[in-house]
Amino acid sequence: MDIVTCLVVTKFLLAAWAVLSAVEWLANLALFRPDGLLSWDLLKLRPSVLGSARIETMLYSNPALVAMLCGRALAGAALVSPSANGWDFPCSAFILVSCLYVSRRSVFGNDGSDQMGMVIAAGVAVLSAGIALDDVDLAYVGALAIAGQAALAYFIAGAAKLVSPTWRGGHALPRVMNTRCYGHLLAAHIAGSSPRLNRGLCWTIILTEMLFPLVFLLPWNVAIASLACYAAFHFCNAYFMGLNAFVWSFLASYPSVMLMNSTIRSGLGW
Amino acid sequence: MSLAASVACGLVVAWLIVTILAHVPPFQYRINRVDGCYFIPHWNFFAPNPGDKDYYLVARGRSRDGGITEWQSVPLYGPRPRFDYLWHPQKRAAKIFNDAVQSIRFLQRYEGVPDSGLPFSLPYLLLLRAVSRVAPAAQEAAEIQFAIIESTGHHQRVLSCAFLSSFHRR
Repeated sequence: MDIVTCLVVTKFLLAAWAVLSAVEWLANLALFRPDGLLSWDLLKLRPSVLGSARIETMLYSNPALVAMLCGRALAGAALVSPSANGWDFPCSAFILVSCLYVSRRSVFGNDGSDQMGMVIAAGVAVLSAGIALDDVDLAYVGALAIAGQAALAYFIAGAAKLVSPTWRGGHALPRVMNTRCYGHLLAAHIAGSSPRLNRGLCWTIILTEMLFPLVFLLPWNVAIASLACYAAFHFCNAYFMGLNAFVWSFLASYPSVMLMNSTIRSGLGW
Repeated sequence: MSLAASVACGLVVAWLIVTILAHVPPFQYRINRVDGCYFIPHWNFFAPNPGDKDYYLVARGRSRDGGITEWQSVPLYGPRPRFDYLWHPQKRAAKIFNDAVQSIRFLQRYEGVPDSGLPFSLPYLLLLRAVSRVAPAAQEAAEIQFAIIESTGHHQRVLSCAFLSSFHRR
């Protein structure tokens, strides 16, 4: 995979995530009203990061929030093009700023897809700047940021499960599936039927997440097949757990992972 | 390698290292304190403790003459839509509520915040605010109390009270 193809595929997936996340937040504007769960009247009591509570109150007013979310959706839409162009850097940089803005404004309610969306936006900003400046090394640094955070995301998620007796004992999956918030009736029924199956599934999740960094070393076709399995994992999470946005932001990291795979393997002479 | 690429490379390597450290307990707290813009991701999804409970907010009111209303559900978010694998805005309110509940528990268990100190915490105030504005029981009451109910199961649910607030004047 070459660096331009990596950018084009990544920015398409980033665009999908940016539009989806922005529109889903816009559908939740009631949360930000004075009587909402994210009322600024209370959230402004946190220590200011800008040094001025008055400026923060203006910056995080509801009209500013709406403008930021609409801007994120428009920037995402502008990223959809079959080639690298001059809009890639400002649009991805804007999405990055909007991610940091919404994280600060909302404090609660952000999930892993938002974090990966922020990582992808940062990586695409550096990648596109490198291509625009004809600086291939800089472009590779953007891909390194995305691939590095993706490897950490999977490995840490697996390691955190490994230290958990609930996960090692195979109890986590049926318990999660038994909730209405993240569970699924059919999956809960299946999970309730076999403790051995649950233990096997929990250990499969733990090991596959922890082994993700090995994708960097696998032969090209095996690495592609592995990433297809990880993608299937995210599709399952979307279907059973309602984690729809994870699909777009996590799949957006895969082109950079494949680019790093090529770079590492050629560097090792494989 | 150009200067811009070298600087960017150094920043990215530092970002990756800090991300690792942010998952190691001795550094976790310090990094979280200075990361006001949430630039350091936390990747421990559903671990070590999986989200294995549903939480619900209920409230009741106390009138000036001491009469107490029945507990009433405070609707914070709707059920998951049928095509939630494509479109799922309801997850935000559910996650906010879950995060607030976990935050209250964290303050109780790990920060040693006593019950008398909890009402001054942000998650508590957010829930109290939502209750006082949204709960049907609150509309006529002089004082209001809320509780967090946890449950498991889809049909035969097991309910228990995870947290009970004091009464608060409106």
